[in-house]
Amino acid sequence: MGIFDYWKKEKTKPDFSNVRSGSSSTAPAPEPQADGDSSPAGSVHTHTYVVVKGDSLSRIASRQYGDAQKWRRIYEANRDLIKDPDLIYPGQQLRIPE
Amino acid sequence: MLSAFVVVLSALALLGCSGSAAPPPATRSALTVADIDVGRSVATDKTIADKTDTFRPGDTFYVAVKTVGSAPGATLVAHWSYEDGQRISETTRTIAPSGPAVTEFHVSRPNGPGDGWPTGDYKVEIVLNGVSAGTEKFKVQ
Repeated sequence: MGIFDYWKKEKTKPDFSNVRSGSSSTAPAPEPQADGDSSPAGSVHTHTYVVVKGDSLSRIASRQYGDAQKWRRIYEANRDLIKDPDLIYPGQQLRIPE
Repeated sequence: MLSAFVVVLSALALLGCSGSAAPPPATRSALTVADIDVGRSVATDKTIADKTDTFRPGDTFYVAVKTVGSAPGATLVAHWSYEDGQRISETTRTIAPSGPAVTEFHVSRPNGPGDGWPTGDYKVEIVLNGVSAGTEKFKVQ
């Protein structure tokens, strides 16, 4: 497969960036840890969003939560990946808290 | 002679210990995935109400994961993908079941003009605590 074919195939891939996801369970969430950690990572339910060209945190927040002002929620959940909230890159996989 | 006596005494002591030891409690501590179903909707008990492996572009995909056993904290992940593995979404949920439980995951896509799911083959893989517990394949047509 030549580079043109590869590019053509990539170009025609569907864009799933507007997919919404969720979950629920009959089982309870784990109890908070006894050491005072009131928000264990395990109790936060997330899904993954792959950044596409033209995205910003507020744009993703707008699409995921219907509110661009909630961009900080995404930023806080990805502090290990995002050094500067104004700089995210296509292909980055961000955790989106539910 | 003395050493033989010690050996016999030790053997008797061991027998006595093994005879008096209580058997381990017959509890199921491990959490396992018992069943995975996909469909278009879930009932109030989180089980699939409308099982299918063929969806329409405007449908929401649901997967229900039945688990048995208990765990103070277990992580279930649903990896949704399209055709040759293109990632759609990955949803994580942490649960602490104390018996049989059902966890549902769902994904949807806006169904405006030109939207909805593209036709083709899809799959959802369920991962429990980092280990694949099964994959369900379905299609949109």
